[in-house]
Amino acid sequence: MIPFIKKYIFENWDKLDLGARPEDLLFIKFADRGIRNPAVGTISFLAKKILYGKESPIFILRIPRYAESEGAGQTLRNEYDNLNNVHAKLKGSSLTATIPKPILFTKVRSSAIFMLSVLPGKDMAMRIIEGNIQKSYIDNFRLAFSWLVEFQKSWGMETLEFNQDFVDKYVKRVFVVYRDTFPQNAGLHDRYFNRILAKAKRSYGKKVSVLPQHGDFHAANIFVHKDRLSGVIDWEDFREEGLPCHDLFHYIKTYLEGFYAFAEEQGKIQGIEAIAWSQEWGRVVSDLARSYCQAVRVDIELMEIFLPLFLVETINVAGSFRKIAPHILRRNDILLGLEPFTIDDLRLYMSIFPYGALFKKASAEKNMELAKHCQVKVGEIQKIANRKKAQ
Amino acid sequence: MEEIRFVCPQCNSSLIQKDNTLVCSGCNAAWQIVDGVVKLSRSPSYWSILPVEDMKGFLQDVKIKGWKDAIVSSKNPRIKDLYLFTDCPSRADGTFYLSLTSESRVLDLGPGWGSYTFALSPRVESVVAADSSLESLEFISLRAKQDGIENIAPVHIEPLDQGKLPFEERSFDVVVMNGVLEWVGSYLKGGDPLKIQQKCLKEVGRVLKETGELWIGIENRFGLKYLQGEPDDHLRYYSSKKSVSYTTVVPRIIANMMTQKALGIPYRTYTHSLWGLKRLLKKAGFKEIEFYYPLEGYRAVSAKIYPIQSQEVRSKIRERIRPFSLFGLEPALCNNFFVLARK
Repeated sequence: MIPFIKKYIFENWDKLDLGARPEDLLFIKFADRGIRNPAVGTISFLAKKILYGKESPIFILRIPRYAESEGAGQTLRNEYDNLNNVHAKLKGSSLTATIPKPILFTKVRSSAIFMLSVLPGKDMAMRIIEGNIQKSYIDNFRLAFSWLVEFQKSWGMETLEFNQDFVDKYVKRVFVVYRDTFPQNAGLHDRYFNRILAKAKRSYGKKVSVLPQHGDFHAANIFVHKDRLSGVIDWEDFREEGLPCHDLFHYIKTYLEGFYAFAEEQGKIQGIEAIAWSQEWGRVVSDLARSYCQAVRVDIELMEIFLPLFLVETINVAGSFRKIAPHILRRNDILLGLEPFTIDDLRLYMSIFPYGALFKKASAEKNMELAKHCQVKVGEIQKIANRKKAQ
Repeated sequence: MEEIRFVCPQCNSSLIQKDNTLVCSGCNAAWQIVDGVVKLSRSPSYWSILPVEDMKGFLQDVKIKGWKDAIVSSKNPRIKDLYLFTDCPSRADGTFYLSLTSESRVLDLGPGWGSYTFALSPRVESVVAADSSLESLEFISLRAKQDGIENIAPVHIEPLDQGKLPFEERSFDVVVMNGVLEWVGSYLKGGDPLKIQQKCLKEVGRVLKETGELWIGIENRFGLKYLQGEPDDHLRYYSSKKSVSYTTVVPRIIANMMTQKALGIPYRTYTHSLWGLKRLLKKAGFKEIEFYYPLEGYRAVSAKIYPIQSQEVRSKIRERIRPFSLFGLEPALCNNFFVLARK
């Protein structure tokens, strides 16, 4: 495919506005998605131009693994459309320097190809476990969310009253999509959905802003260069009127997943417990989340409604034809079953996955002490969740 | 699917299909198609990381449970590990550097459990999975049937050491040899493995169309890991004993003495340097050769792939040999290569 794309690019070089025509182009395959999932898989290449013997990055190329895959094609098309929309809306803003510029979406040999500009820097995920973990968490959070607040404010904020109309428009649609996406699960989480709606009713009259949400705002999609945020990538899930705090919860949840995955990989039970059961971590994360809510004018008490909604929405996206991500579905379905409402609930309940993995590993290695410990901890978490459910 | 043009392994005449038999138009030899596998070899040969008895038991499970369930429910950890390799289309992402189209006809030589075969089949017109190991082909045939895939043809061939492929000239647009070339020369007990590999590559050139492309995945003889003492990946298949280090980097005559002493076998799994591989391919008639560096290895499920001349390759190797410098020759130390060769 690359030889055909290269030929196409050279034939259309002058129309693409990519500067002086280079002697050659090199393509580095640097990322892939849906590696086991042909229906949605995409591949990303960094294209470098060679001019006067010197190499420099010139654009990112993304293609579906299989030309006919509708989900992958739609993913690329969404990102192209979203980026065009964002650049048009923020025209003249310095923020546009941190958002990839769409260059081209077309078909070559019946395969979709999507070209976009390259941003400098390295992804923030590389800095997750550097030095003092808590300090780097706070630094990274501030860096990411000062950008997000600026982005959301630049878009234009509309502050609304949280009331029946709001619930009908923004809350119930999440449940409708869930029931449509997973008809086989109809009724499975109704108890939880009803609890969310009851909480919502009790919160009528509070203030909330409807804001654009990036949709996949996590450390690996945020670029940092010389300690400044230099780019935010992967705009395929962007929504102009997203669920309030979606990006906040997604960032917190994926960061936690990163911590837990690291602890699991290292086989370090202390790594899990230092996060899951630590009151100090709870305070740090909640304080940061509150400061974000205040900045974008979302009543902090509404977080207990938007967090569960975010979890349901995550499942909805994972089950859509563009993603088909069964492992995400399984995990999130377990989380929904525990009925979390707060960031503290989320932090604790998510630890059952690394505990479970360490339990399996320890059992296989006949480390019965560790296996027992993990089992006890999972039991404790379930008890806590059940107690909260009964309240 | 356009018909595959077979030739008789005995006399090179065209084969004509009559029901489940291919009959030679020259010597009248008859070759059977059994359970979807075209059997054009009478040489017994088995290659898999599973012992043959385990493989036969596994194939029975595949027939009963379906291939995915047979892997997932297996109690053999080696079979479970295989899932990663058999059902991961991203393993073949390197082939995006080729000029494959939906009309392409591909020959996957030594397909193993078919990770390239199945990854490529939705992208091309047809894939012929050719191997001298019948059991691997039986797995591919069963999987294709169970998944309703109709453009895959498993073909049992003589070991590649024989340098004979049972296909007419210019039959294929692309030939894939992923982790295969280094084994060519190890089936025959005599003869120079280098010459045997050269003969095999010439034969590959014969079955490729004029505009055809060859895709190879192979370790670099002088890969940094081998220079640093990591054992030769290929020798561990011969012995449960520890493998031997430095065999790839020393002259082959010395490597032979080392393997004879340590494992009691001759050294015949030849890998090559960047220049050695280029020379070998040129001698086999390939003129245009591109090298790529799969960072995590050519067998990895999700490798980053760099054109060998890119700055990143130099800097990645440089990071690992600091404070030394090779003045631009760093690509010669990549642990492995993907190679794209055109005639």
